[in-house]
Amino acid sequence: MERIHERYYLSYPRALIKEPILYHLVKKFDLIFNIRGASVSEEMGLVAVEFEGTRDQIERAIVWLRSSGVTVEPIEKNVIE
Amino acid sequence: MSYITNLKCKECGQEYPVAPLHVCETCFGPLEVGYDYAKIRAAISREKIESRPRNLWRYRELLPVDGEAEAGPHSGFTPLVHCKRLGAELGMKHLYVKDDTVNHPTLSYKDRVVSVAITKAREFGFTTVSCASTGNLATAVAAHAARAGLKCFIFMPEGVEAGKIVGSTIYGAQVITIRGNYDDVNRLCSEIADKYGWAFVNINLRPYYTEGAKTFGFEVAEQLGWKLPDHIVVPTAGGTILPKVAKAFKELKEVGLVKGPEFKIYSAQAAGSAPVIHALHKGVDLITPVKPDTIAKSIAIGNPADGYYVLRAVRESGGWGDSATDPEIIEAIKLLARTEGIFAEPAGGTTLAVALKLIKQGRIKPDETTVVSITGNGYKTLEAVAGAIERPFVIDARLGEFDALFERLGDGKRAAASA
Ligand SMILES: [Zn+2]
Repeated sequence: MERIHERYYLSYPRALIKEPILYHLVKKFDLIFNIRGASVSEEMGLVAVEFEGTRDQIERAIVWLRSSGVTVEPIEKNVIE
Repeated sequence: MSYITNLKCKECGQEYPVAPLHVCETCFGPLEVGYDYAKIRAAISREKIESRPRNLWRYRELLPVDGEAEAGPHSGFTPLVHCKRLGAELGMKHLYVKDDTVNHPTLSYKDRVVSVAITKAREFGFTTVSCASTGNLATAVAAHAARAGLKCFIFMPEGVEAGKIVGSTIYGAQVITIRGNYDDVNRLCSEIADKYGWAFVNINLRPYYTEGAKTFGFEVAEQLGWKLPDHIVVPTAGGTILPKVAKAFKELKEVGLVKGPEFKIYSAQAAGSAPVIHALHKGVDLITPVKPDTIAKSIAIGNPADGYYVLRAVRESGGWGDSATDPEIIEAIKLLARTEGIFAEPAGGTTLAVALKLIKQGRIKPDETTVVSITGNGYKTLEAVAGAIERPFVIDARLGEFDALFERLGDGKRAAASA
């Protein structure tokens, strides 16, 4: 399987800030990730991250993140104008 | 001759060469074009600009291109209309509309950003240009690509109105509609930009593309007699134009073309898609995405790429922002049309509706110079107002029928008396 790199912003609502989300992500989906930036404020946490894995691994990981309450966006955010 | 120095990350400051790049490799922050302002200051003057053709390239020293314009020879330099009748209704003496409903060739402010992006695409040697769009951007890219002799692919979400597809296909663009939601379309386009090496105007050419929006601000200042307005109200969708208008005003000061008092800049969003206004009113930096639901389709972006920079520019200037509901937007479109003879798309109705609120709130005072930014043409979005317009009267072709109708309309007696 071809391995690809994809870059995302993950934003966590306040309730999830203390959860070890990225730890679960690695355990469950065997992804390599590389954090490029992070900020946590009172209302939410924001992490810029690059995933490395197969297309299938990354897609399943994103579905799981979203079902856990994390917002996942490509770093370009909305390109449809 | 070019005055660009580099690309620079807006977040961490890391510098990059002038290339088709759009995010910082270190922190994923957006990249911004840097210029040598000292050199520009020495090279530019009001007289020099005024002697040039009336298009957006008259400010070419402050645009990110090396050579001659390859697109948009008739784009920009749209009218700044002094709104006397509208102003009188609102008690405003110096109310202006910057009227991009008549931008060439596709009747929206996108002709500006796309002119610059296509010129840069040619300079970089691209042969195919592309974008993901549901409206004005698609039309502008398709039209400018046609004239520049470039191949063009337009991506749209499935289910977009047939008219939107015609508006791009007519120029010879290949339109592809994508099954899936907006997120899927976004992701696919980013992947295609990477893999196919095309010039995606608002992805890998984004730092250059967005610079084109400065020309809106340059023109406002020049048309006010090389002065900045006290207030300017700008619509916010993806967040391109507002920070760039603020940048344009600051650059004009930096290079010595204008002096004088500071401006305040205001963001306008449709209430059904107002993530930036929510954050502004709450006093927070993080913008929580929303699912858009408004007739103002051209500004219905729930997760604006540059929303944070809109907040920053608004706050830095001491400005503010507000949102307008769909009925308020329609009322404002009708008001502008019946007082000034300008038919704006719903984005323009939004801007005017918000300007009305700012005046009512006392943030904008009657004798202060105020510019309302109208970024697109109402002829493209007739369906948005069709239901809110008076129906025509129907009569038989007999003078007596018309006389009776005219009498009923109430103006009959006055007309007869003055005859
Ligand atoms: Zn950076």
